[in-house]
Amino acid sequence: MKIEFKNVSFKYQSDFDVIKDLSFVINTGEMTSIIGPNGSGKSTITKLIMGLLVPNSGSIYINDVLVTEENILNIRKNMGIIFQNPDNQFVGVTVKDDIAFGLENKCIERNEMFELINKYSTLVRMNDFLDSNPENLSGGQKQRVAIAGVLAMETETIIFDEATSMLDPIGVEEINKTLKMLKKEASKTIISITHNIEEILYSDNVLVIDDGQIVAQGKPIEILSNIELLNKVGLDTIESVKLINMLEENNHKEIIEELWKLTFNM
Amino acid sequence: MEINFQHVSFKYDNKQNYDTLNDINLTISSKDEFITIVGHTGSGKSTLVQLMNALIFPSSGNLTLFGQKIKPKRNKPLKKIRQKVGLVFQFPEYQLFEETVLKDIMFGPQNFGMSIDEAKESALNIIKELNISEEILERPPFNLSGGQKRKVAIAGILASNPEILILDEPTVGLDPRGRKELLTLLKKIHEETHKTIIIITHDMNVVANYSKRTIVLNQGNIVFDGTPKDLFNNKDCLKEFNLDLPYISKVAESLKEKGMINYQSIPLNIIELYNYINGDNHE
Amino acid sequence: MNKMAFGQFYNSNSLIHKIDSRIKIIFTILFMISIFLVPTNNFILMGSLFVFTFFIVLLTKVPLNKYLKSLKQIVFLLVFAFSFQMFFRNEGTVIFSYNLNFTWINITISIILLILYILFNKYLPLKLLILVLLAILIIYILGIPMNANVINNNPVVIRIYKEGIISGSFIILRVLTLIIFTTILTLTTKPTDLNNGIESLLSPLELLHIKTSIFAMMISIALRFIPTLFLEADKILKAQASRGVDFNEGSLREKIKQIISLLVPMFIVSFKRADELAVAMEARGYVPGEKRTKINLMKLKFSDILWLILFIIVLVGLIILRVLI
Repeated sequence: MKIEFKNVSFKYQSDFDVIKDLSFVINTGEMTSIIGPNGSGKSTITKLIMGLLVPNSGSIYINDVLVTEENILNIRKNMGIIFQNPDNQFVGVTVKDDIAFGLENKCIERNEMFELINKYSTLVRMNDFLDSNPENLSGGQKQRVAIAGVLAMETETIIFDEATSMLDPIGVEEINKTLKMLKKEASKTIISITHNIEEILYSDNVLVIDDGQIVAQGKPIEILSNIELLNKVGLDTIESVKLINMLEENNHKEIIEELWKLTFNM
Repeated sequence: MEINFQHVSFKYDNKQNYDTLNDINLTISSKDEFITIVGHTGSGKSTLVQLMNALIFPSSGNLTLFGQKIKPKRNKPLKKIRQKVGLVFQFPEYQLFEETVLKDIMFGPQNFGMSIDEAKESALNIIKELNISEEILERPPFNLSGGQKRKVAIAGILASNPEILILDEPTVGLDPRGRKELLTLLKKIHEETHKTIIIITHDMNVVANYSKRTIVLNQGNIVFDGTPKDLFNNKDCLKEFNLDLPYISKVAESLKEKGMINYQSIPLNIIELYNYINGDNHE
Repeated sequence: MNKMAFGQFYNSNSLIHKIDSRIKIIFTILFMISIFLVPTNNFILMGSLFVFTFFIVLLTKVPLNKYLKSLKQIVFLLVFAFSFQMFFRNEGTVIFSYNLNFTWINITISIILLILYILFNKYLPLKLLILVLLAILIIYILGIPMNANVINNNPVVIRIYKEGIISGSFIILRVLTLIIFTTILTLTTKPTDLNNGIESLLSPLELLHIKTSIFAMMISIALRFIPTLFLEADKILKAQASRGVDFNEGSLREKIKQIISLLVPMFIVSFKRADELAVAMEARGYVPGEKRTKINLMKLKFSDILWLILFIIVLVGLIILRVLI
């Protein structure tokens, strides 16, 4: 799914624009990370993409078609989103019911539903918990259920809207593993919104957002190396990259090379 | 010692929201300690700190807080203990409720018996200490940004002037700048007032670079109580309880495996590792 | 985090648990009608329905104290209904009569006893039982003739009639059977199944353009979030307790403030949840009232039909009896 923003601005009731004249393109089948500090407007971007908010000016094109109120419902059928709070997107009383929720809305046949639930709960390794209640699951497990629920709808695009920000490190790792696996195995367009720099490593393209605007765009390695810019917007690069920056190029060529390798493999 | 656990257990069949604790022995002073508590979900971290605040009572063993013995059932008034042990819960911004930021910060102190004037003075001092801008004092707390709300909530605890400050995962949900700001602030408070600070965390970087003492909980038992340096050099312990190294220590370990550097004690931050690489570390 | 108890549902996976929830709802209604069709003071019929109910209770394999718990809530009602029938019936055979002497001494002693009860009832176990005993004691004390000034020259006489006791007992038996039977429904049916059952039974209303599916979704969301909100309330309660809130003390003004300190955060959190949940549901394609398929399909088994027939027989039998008698 190709997503294109052309000069999009948006404001809530207040006077100042949360999103300012924003233009970017996300290509089909790519994984794009949108990174920025809290309050930079990242989550507003996802809501604009999903058509849950409407821009005040500018236009959004999806697969080269202008998004309007008439076609948004159809477009949205091809997008799935994982939100930040694991509890507030768990609709079902059990894991099975929750994964089924979106399928029920799509009026999928009951037998097919069970097939899809089985397939995708296995993929996110939650198939042993199908009858569990949300109170008995960890945050990471609930987020995996949410992922299965979105995957089961077999949409072209999946958006992760700070899906790891309320999880403990084990939960974060679980979700990131799932994300990596998705990138490898499913040919989906993935958008990941985050303030954790580690999560941009395996994306194809990174947008750095600050104050509703794009301040940098590029491959992960380019963004990681731009320490000055990251500090300016209140983000931090990975510590190994900081170390690379401290070491002098000539004396430690071998170590620097090794550090880059480590950065992308850890 | 102000906090004293002797063979304390917590095990109630009817309190199913709590993880159990077995035979905890622990002493904590109210001066000059900076402790991190680590352990996986379900290890009993939250139960442990709620015992320290006398929000829940032990099922057996001797728990003494500031000289007052905490019994399994009916206890003498506990306000004094709760004033001396300030407990900041996870996502503390959800406890804000007053019309203005200032009133919310003054709520705790007034409950603990300060007069309005005293509470106000205490609140204003804390606000300065935490770099909260005075402009927001008369605003409702609900419109602030996430990071600001959390600072206000913490100020509400500190304004009661506790001798020990406990924080349950204070940095979760904050962005890198907010995280760093909060931790630096806690360090500053600790250095200036010598108050004991206890942080529950999953972040090994906080354990390595902020705390002086770290306690590892596993399935309701204390399995390690010592300095972070000892913990991270104790490979067996880390492996047995499935604990991570700080990021930079993992990097150092890989470099050591490749034979690129060598060290006796594992480096815990960038500077230490940098010095090892440049060969000018004199231990 | 462990499992939190919600609702009365008790999972013992018995014969009764396996009955389709719609059938259970229908036969509970049928049985309630049957109970009210029993002619007044016909202890044999009412007794058989009670024994029948008790037999089903045994089939549920739910510990009896679970039933007692739900009965505990209506003990007061039962005692009240019985006393009302006993004291205010005034025709038929007198089996017991009792003079009350209102003298200063009797009244003073009675009032002192009452005050003592009011002062100390906080610390007493089995409050209701003690209250009943106290009432009997006071009546007894008022019955003792005293050599003192009588306030009222016409002595009040309590007369208890045989018919009063009989109809009182009958009412108790009827209410007991009723409550125990409805408790069977809630103890053996998961709240979600109950909700699905009600939705399915009400679905004919959709033909009248009443969107029952929306209400069912609302109830199901409520069922999903009640445990979450309980945990939330517990957390906020503790957070405020560590800020010095003590819900057991303080003046009225302070008490109000304490309650506000719990309510405001609860409202804010709940609204936030509701808001995010609505967005999440919309994002997953939920449109209120639109046609949806269902994963939880309810299928009638042969045994369900047999259960239904059993209760229809009971009802029809009672109707025939009523007509004949």
